[in-house]
Amino acid sequence: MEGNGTMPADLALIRRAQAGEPGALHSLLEGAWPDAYRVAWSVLGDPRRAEDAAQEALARVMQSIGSLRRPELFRAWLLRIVTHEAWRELRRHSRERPAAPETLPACPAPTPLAAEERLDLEAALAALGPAHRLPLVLHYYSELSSAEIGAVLGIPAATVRFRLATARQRLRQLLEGPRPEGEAARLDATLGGVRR
Amino acid sequence: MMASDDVLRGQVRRAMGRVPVPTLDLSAVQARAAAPRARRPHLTRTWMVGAAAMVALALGAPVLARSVPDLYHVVISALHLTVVAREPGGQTLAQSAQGFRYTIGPARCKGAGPCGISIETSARTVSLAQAERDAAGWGFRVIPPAGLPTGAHLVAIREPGPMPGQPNQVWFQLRTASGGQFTIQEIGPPHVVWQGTVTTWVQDGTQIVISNGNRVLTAAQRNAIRSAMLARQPVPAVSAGPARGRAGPIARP
Repeated sequence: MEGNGTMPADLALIRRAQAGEPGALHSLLEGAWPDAYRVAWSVLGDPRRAEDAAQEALARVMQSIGSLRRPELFRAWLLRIVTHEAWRELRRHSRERPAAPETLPACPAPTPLAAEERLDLEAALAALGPAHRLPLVLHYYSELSSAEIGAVLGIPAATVRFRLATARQRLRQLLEGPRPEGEAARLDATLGGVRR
Repeated sequence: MMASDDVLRGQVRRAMGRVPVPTLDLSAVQARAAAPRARRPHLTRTWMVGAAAMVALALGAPVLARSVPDLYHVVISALHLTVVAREPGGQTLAQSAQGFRYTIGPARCKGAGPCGISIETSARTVSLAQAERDAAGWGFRVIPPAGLPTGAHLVAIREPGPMPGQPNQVWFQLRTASGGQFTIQEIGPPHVVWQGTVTTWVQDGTQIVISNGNRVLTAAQRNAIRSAMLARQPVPAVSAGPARGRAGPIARP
């Protein structure tokens, strides 16, 4: 596993959670929450929907933790559930009409560090689209291998590698400035062809 | 110059690390785990429409001659299900003898499980007894969340307005035979057009957790409502979004 090994302390916690110890389960969920939320966010790009999807995923974890046969694969299993819930939310949202403006306060603003870089990166990541952003996030942030990402997404590892290569290329282009129009069209066509 | 893979990795990790992560709402997760799961909500709606048609046919021509709101009524009373997701824009389902118009919604049935429901009124004031009569007259019957006592019934509770001189607030509650209560749903200060909010609550001591309908509102909306309810402050008006069954503006009488 490429950087995705579950630490022995985590394994003990997972086993205690599987044994039905509520405190252990809660600790496990608390620990899994940031990753779950961020991965859901990388698919959905919306804080509230990401929170919904991540909560739903943790609820599934809570229900099914006892059936996890290999605790060392907990993280990959969790990310698979999160990804599934996020895609499910995305599909559901795509079927529905746009939501009405809400009156609730917006999500807290991100930390004001390296504003230019942040804007560039976030804009570039957002421009990728979920089908390419998610493998990128799973690879670079969650440190999963292509095979593991394939298992999480339910696609062949080769497809993952292709998407990663495309995403990298696109991200670099986006970060380095505007592309020539012809190249942009070609790349967009490529991305459109592999988009889920 | 092309960014190296390591640079890209660092950039992505930093960008992801800066995504603000909200606090985990463990009670919401537990409530979701306890709630029945809707696997195919769109099929549920299709099923509901088909079931409504079958009921209408079974009941014969008199039902067919009724208006659409009455057909909804048939669905509710005959199948013991609450209202399916309603189109935005508001649908007036009933008008009381006093001219108060009520709107049911939004609701989103989850499989054959429970649905949330909200009731809005355009009336400036409505008596408790009148509200109860009206609700009972429409045959409201809301199936309680799985695992909770059945036999819920709807009651209306009138409370003084939050400030002197302001209209009363009317709340509908679902009460169970066991004395527990859930589904506290505002219909708001009647002079305010509330946008659809549907939430089912389980009140257990001082803690209120969401038991059902939790997919209708976003987590932030639920948190805001819960905070307001715990503080006994007016529940904020939120929109569940038209796709999830939003009660649209309704005219004053």
